Amino acid sequence: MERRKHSCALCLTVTLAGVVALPSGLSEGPVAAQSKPEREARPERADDSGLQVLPVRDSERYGRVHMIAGAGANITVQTTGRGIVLVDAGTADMAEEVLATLHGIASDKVVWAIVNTSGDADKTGGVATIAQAGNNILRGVNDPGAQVIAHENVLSRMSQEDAPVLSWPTDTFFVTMWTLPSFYYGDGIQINHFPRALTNGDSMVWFRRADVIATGDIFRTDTYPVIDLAHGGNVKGVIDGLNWVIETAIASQRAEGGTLIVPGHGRLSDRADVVYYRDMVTIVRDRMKDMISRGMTLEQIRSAGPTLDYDGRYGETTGPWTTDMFVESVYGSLIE
Amino acid sequence: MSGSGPLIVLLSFVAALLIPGVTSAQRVDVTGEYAQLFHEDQPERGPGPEVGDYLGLPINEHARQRALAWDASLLTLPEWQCRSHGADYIVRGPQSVRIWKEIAPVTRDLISWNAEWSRASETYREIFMDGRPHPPEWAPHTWRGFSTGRWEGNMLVITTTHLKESYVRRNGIPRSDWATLAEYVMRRGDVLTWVTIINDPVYLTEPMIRTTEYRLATNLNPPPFPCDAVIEIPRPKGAVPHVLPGTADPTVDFAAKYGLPVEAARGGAETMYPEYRERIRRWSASRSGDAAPRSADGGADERR
Repeated sequence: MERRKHSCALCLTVTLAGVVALPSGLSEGPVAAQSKPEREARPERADDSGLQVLPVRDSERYGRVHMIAGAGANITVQTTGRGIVLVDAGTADMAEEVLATLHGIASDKVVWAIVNTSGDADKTGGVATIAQAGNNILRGVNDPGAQVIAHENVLSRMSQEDAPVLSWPTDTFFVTMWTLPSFYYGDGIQINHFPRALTNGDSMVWFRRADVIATGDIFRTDTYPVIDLAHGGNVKGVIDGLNWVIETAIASQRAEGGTLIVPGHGRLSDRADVVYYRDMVTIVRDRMKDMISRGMTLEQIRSAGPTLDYDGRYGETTGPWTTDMFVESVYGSLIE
Repeated sequence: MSGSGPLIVLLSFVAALLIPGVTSAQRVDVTGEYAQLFHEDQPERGPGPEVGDYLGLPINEHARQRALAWDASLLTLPEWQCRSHGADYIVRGPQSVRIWKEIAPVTRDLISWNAEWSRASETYREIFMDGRPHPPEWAPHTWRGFSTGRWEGNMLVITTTHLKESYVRRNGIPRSDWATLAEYVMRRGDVLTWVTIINDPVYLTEPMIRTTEYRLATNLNPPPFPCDAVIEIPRPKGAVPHVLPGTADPTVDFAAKYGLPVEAARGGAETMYPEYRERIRRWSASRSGDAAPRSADGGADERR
């Protein structure tokens, strides 16, 4: 119960527990737990419970799109006619399980194309296994080996890093927007390249009839953007990418629903979720830009806690991508 | 009381069980239209809270920093317009509510209680009573969340997950999308009491508890609220209004306005409890004759 009188200097908010007897159902459980609650396990992280399939669209009007979670990175699955178009392929060790899951989604179809949103191993690791099980629709439905489509910088990076040849893109593009026609792919598919986002090879994939955007890791709900300066990343490109999603997506009503967003990692989202994330990245960028303009060093900026208000939600102190690493990547972006 | 009283009660109970359609699971019918009663927190629920007033909220340093950076102009961005209140906030908001039942057409089982507030959500809240599980973690989050309910005696107990980020106070105090919501709804005659308990591992150090009361008002009809975003203020593309650290601290202004120590305005779990009043009394006594505000523990307030 919240009681306050602003005309009184002693105005206070008083909890229900403090002023009235609780119904029996309230005296147990959350109300009684007045000590600081233990931090729950991060709900957005994959566990070992296997793959999960979420229907994203399933109608005559919009087509069929699913999201597979738990394969290392989210996989977007569009089924059409006799074929399947994937956005990203998960890690190598999950590839067989992904194939089995695809069979469960559409047992009469094979993979025709895989679009990779980046060259990261959690997106491309499963390509070799999954693509080999598919067919190339442009060369005939019985031609083995699905198309693997990505920006040319993805191919450059994978070839330089000695990634398995069978996981390399078979079809690359070098423009900022590439399209796949609905006649072959079941939907008009628009691929937008963001030249300097997390790396120099990031793309987003927009299924225009289904009204679904697969963002790759430019948008994710589990951690701060993983900006890879060494591979051409920059916080400005990340913000540009997020703003493109916000401009492109259309909410259904009351700023919610409508265009659905499959993030690189985390839960199925909509435009409003991207807005929250864009706000966060923009605010952190603005703060650090201001601090740099006042002559603060990286260490001074770290000590000032430019991400403090978001660390409880996105921050990490250990693991492959810590808050310190994110701050350093933004700093590196801004002093270029 | 005559000696036949207990027998009459017993017979009435048995008769109720024999009436077709009466089940032991549904003890109370909460169906109806209800008007908000504003005897609690009217300034906050009507005109809105003051900027810098975090008093009485069990917030942590992350929430406080987020609020200090909040700029009300954020709400003028087209992508921020038309948004619904979160399920936890709308119960406390200024809107009337309509509650009705969704009944399975064949079995006549209760599928859900539905609750609709004006300006509340993309659609009404469904509180599923049919035992269905909550969606997987990867499913979308919405401002209304996903709710299931059960009866505990005469009390409807609701559990809500899959909430989108929202706020516990409309002055920038956030509530994260990892929060869960427990609600307890009780009807006593024409009065409906709705308890909300927010557990937020990101921004709250303790459960945030509120009770709100409504009164049955069958002449109410929550109106439609169509909304279309517009450009209210021309801005550079991608601009997000916010307050840079160190440039302003609205808690100082709020504390000065009401003669409070700044630390009280900055909130925290301790400011919820009655014993905090004693700290403020000591603070008030310590500053008598001293123009410089001090913190509630009697020390000099360096934030001033």
